[in-house]
Amino acid sequence: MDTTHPSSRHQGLEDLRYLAAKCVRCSLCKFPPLVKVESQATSSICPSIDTYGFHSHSGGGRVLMALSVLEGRSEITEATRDAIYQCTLCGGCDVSCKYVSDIEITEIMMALRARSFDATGPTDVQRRILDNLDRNGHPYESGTREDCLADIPGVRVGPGPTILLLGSAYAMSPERRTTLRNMVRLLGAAGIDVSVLGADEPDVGTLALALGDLKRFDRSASAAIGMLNDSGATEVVCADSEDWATIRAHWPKVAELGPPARHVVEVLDDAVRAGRLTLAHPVRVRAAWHDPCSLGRRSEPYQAWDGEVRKIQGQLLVYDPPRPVNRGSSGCYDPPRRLLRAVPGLELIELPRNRECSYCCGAGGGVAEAYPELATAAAMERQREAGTTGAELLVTTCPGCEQNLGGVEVAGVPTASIYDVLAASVWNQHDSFTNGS
Amino acid sequence: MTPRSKEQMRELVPGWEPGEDPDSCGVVHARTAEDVVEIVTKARGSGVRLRARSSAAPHSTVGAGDTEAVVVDLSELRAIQRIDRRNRVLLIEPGVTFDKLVVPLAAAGLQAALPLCPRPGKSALAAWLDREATIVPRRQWDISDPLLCVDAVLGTGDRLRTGSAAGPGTLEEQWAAGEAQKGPMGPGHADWMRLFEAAEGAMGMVVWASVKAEVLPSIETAWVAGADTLAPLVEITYRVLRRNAVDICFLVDRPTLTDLLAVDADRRPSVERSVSAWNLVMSTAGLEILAQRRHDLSVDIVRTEVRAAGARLVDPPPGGRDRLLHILRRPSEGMYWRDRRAGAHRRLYFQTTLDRAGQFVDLAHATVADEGFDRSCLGVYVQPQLAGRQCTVEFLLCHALDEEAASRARSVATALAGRAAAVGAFFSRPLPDVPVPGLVTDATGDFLTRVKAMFDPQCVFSPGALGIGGTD
Amino acid sequence: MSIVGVNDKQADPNVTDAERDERRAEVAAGLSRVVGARWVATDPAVLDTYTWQYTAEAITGSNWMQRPLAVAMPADTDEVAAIVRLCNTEGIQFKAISTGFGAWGAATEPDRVVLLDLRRMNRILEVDAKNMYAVVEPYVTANQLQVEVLPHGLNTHVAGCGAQHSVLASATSVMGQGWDGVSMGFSGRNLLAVEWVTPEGEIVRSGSVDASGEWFSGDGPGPSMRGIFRGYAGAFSGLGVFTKAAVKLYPWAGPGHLEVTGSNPDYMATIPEHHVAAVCVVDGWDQMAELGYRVADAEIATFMSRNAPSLMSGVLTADNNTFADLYGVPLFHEMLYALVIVITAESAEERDLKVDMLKAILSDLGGGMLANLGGPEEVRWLMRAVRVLARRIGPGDLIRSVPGAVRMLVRDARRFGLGRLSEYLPSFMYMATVTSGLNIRGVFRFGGTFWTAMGSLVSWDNAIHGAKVGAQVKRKYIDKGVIFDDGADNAWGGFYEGGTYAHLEELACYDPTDKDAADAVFEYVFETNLVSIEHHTGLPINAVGPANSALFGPHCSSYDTWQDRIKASFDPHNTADGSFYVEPDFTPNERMVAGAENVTSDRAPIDPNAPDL
Repeated sequence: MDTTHPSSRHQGLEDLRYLAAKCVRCSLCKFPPLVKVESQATSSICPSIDTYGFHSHSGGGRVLMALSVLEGRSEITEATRDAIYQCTLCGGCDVSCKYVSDIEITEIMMALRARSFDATGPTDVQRRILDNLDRNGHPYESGTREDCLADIPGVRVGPGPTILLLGSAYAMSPERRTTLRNMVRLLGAAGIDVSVLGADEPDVGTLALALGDLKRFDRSASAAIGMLNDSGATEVVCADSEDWATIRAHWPKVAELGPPARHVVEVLDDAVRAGRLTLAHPVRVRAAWHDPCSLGRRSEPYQAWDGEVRKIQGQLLVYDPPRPVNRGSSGCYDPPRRLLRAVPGLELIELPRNRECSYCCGAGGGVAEAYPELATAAAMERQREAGTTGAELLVTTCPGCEQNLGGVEVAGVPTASIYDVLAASVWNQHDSFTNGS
Repeated sequence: MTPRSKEQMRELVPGWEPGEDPDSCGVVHARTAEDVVEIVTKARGSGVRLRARSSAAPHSTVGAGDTEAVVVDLSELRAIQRIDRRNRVLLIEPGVTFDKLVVPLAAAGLQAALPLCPRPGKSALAAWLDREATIVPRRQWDISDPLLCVDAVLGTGDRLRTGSAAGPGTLEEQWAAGEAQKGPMGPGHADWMRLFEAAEGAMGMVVWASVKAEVLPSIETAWVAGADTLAPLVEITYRVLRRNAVDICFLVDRPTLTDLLAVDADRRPSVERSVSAWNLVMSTAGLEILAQRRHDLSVDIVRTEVRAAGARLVDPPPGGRDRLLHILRRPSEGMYWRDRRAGAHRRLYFQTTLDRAGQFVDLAHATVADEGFDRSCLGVYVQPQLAGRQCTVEFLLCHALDEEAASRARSVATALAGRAAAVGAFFSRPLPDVPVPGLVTDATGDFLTRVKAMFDPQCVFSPGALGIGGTD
Repeated sequence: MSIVGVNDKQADPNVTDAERDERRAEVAAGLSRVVGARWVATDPAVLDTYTWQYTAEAITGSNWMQRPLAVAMPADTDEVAAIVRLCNTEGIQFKAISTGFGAWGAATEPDRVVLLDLRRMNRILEVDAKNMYAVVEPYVTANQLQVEVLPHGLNTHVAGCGAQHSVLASATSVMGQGWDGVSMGFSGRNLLAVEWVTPEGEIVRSGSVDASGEWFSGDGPGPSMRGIFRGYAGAFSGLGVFTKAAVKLYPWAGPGHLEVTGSNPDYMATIPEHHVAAVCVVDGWDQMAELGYRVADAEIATFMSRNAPSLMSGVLTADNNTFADLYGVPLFHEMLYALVIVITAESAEERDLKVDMLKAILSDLGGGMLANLGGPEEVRWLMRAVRVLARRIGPGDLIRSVPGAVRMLVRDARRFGLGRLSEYLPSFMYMATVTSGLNIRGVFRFGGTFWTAMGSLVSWDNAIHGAKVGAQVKRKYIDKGVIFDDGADNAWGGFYEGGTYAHLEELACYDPTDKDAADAVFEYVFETNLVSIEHHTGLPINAVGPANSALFGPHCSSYDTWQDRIKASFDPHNTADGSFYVEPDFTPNERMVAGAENVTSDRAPIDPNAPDL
């Protein structure tokens, strides 16, 4: 274990070195698994290298930067730091690498961020985000959870058997309130008695993790897990997909969450399949589903491994015991598709890059805040892709995706949250997405 | 070149003879590769220029423009050094002519990639070195095919063996290790063999080469699809080649097919009447295993595609398909086929793609009309190459044997070459005695000059029609 | 594909760090004037992402090659030419890369080379479906071109390194063996016209594109320009930069899009209706030679390659632990002498004809095949496999291996939802050969990396001869524990141009972070090179770069001296980094000399007539 964060199970760069050294610089991390590529236009899986071009801006490139830093060949300069952070941490490279090998690229990139953060401190933009977290309990300049709750009439505030974690992105964005309201209404209509924590809702640590501030993340995650474990809740439901990925893949490194957790789409999917929620009204639209990275490939559960690498048959590297590897396939892919297929009149279209091979919207990893040019370029690319399918609507469920893809609609297809679409079907309420909310 | 006495020439070029060819400065016969090395070594720095000749007479006029060069006659290097059925390869010297190849190859169960009914006495190696188009396009993987490896004597007197033949090991050692000189590239970082192609000997004299051969089909049938225009036949060509259904495959107009078929002049009128304005000549084949089924499957494809394009399969006269196949799988019999129409001919050929061939045919017809050339003396032969990716378009300007007719044909060829070049004809190899405007661009000229300076710094080899290293 | 004998150089000791940084800044400023500052990188960590390279350890002794002076990303040919001219003016070198996979994509001299990362030049400029060629820029990958041309009923040759390679780089500059060579040739032979920025910065267009702007031919007028820059190995950017290239495409009797089901890592191709994937097994090298010749003669195969059991097991599995289990099952070793053959056909009739031809050949040779042809063929294969294994390993071991085999079959049935080996093995091999998207699994993953040896383009008999003697060299290093023990024989290779020529390269997998292994593999490659000379197995795949040219030249018509002259003539200022091509005044470094001495003092005994493994 790296000595930087002895109290948690984060792997430091040194811990991951044996995996980083497996990089052969094959560049497969830049593409979806090649057997899945359908056209040149959709043959990239990496918004970062699409935008900045240099190999340093690929998954493999960052692995090599990590090795360079580890071996003392280079210091982390401003240019290095940009190359490290100009990445949405979408995990596409990780999936592609693990089709043929098993390098934990995302873990290495996060460890490199932690090394960078420890060595150089935050950038100005990052500093503002962290200050906001300190000051406001969320990463934004303004907004309060009270304001948010005022827009969600009827929601129970305080402890309850099912706690809905709203997260910050939905809660602090007035533009997303309709969606949030629809989400809560849908849960209610499904007979799920959710409560929210209001001003007490903890920061789950998503941005601190993305920025490499692991101490802060550990504090946040630890506090949040403790609060939820002590709350008496029997289930936690997560609204924000980015937080969902954090909870699933990274909280276990800090502490165990007692109550089981699910994402909202999983809860609603169960409800529809059980007949507790009826999607009655037709929504006649050709809709493409955008798999958020955080709901999909990045939400695979953390799997601890404490073993060693052995060589057998001379030079064959094996793990003792076998090392579990997340390859992106067991993310949450089917529930949202089942939900949309259940909407009468809705024709579901698959984007060429889908499920574990989805192309990132560009918002994650702290990029929307620090490198808007990357966020915009990625969203434009995804919109272009959607536009080629004949889709009339691009549906997703992640506040970052909704915001970022919606922000460049002019280039492609109107964007909607899945909750708005479902609400339209349940209550024949179309205005929530036809105006491109 | 400074005039020299016979004694001086014999001193400079051992074995030199004055010869009877007015277009050369005498001749020297090489009987071995070592002879060639000795001749070149002696001639270096002497001011004597050399040009290679391998075929029997009559000789192509390509490269013959240098009347002051001594002809190095390679026709006595005529060994077929090896025929290897297992590896489908032969190894031949430059004096091996096409008429000497067919029978021994067939005896081994093989056949060579023949140009369209070549002169019997034409050096096979010279034709292939010159990238002369061959009639089975589906088996042409590279424009250099069927050549694989060559052994060349350079202007420095060095020998350069190319491809996998270069080594390690002598030919005999390689044979013992199972190698059959099949690798056409290299050795190393350059494709040396390509530098001797279409160079008319200006870069070096090739003293042997390994050459791809193909399995002799156990069943083969010739076919002619006829049409009133070229276009539908071009479409069929694309399709049957895409399906890998035909071996022999080329397109000819009525007069040219008549030239090929009417070995006897008195049959010419009847043959000409019975063939179509445009003809796609093909063959379908079955090899060794399940030959009949394979053949029949190919026939089905041919029939389907011919029907789909609105063309018709015709029985070629005289003697039908068997006779046609016999003609196509051998060197020209009797009078050379290109001379049958009028006694002599001039060829004009260039590369293009099949879909553009028709435009050049129209251009040729317009040009001969403009030039007042007898239209019936124009022939068209389109040879698909590289499995249909490109083709050689050949215009045959048939003329009488007299000097005036020859001059007239040359004039028409010159006009046609100019017009064709202006609309994209790619003259990938020099034409006999016909200038092509803009043929050697600055880039090509620079490239050729540098290679010449490397292989033949003293310009002992004649510059050829491209003027490679030529100073006068 | 890999290289030994490339000279790793040291920094000029007379240049101080400050001077070097100043120089870098000057050059970066010049590059920025050409491409814009955004497209120039000089940050050490960023440059290091162009420095770590596979096979570096056997050249430099570490996993790093040398750091370039800068990396620039030109957008077009004019910018490439301007950078090349700048390098001429500044007295520095350039090297162009596309994906830059392999040590040859890196500098060998510190702080002297500007790398041109051609990623921004990534357009498919033309697909001429009728005349079956495409014109591409440098960063178009084989995978990209393949998926774009399949809907036209066409396919493209993909090199064995994997379909992420640049089509242009493979065709113009670097080797080009692949699984599909029997129907789609070799990269260098698929090249038509090119646009070439010479080492002096001139923009040259070859063949028909120079004459008429059409790209269908790169040969002439007169001798072909391809003769200068391509060869077997390519010039590895040591003779300029290719900025556009036309390459041959080939007919594809298959769907416009390959259907792939499942999820990572168990994607599985649906074999199209008229296609057959078959692992064709015979018993021994002699029969394998016959099989290759006969299948090639009969024109049956669209893909035909030899894959050792270790490679096939690697392709089938997603991790080394699973691989070790699978590879431990003797049943797989029955496929030691096997060719993977993929048949494609436009119709059932054509497919059936080709299958019947294949069956006739295998029947004659006493072989069997595991193919997507249903039960009876699988039963025949299994019965034959048991018979062969009983003879090869003895009935006792065979019986003891049954539980392991059953476990494997149960696990894979669970994994793929399928019951029969004849469905998923052909499917995987079909996917591997057609898309070339799984190659890392079959070689790199075992130890972390691999080198290769032997592998000349020669007659199939000679390729097999090379595999036999190469395996004996490899055994020596396996016994030392420095190469993964894949049974010594992991000769991978294929056939080209309808079987006109072939190659078998002897892969050696190892851990690149293991210093002993890195040193030993250097020696392995050198020793196989010596064996290539002594046993006349052709110029091996490693015969690249100045040291090897010097080694092989005297045995191969002194081609090295002619290469030197080409370099001197076309690159008079030595501006193109020729470290993997031709270097004026080359002298081997100490590591190279020491390695060679180790080898020559302790040679593996070679018996060219040794019995089969």
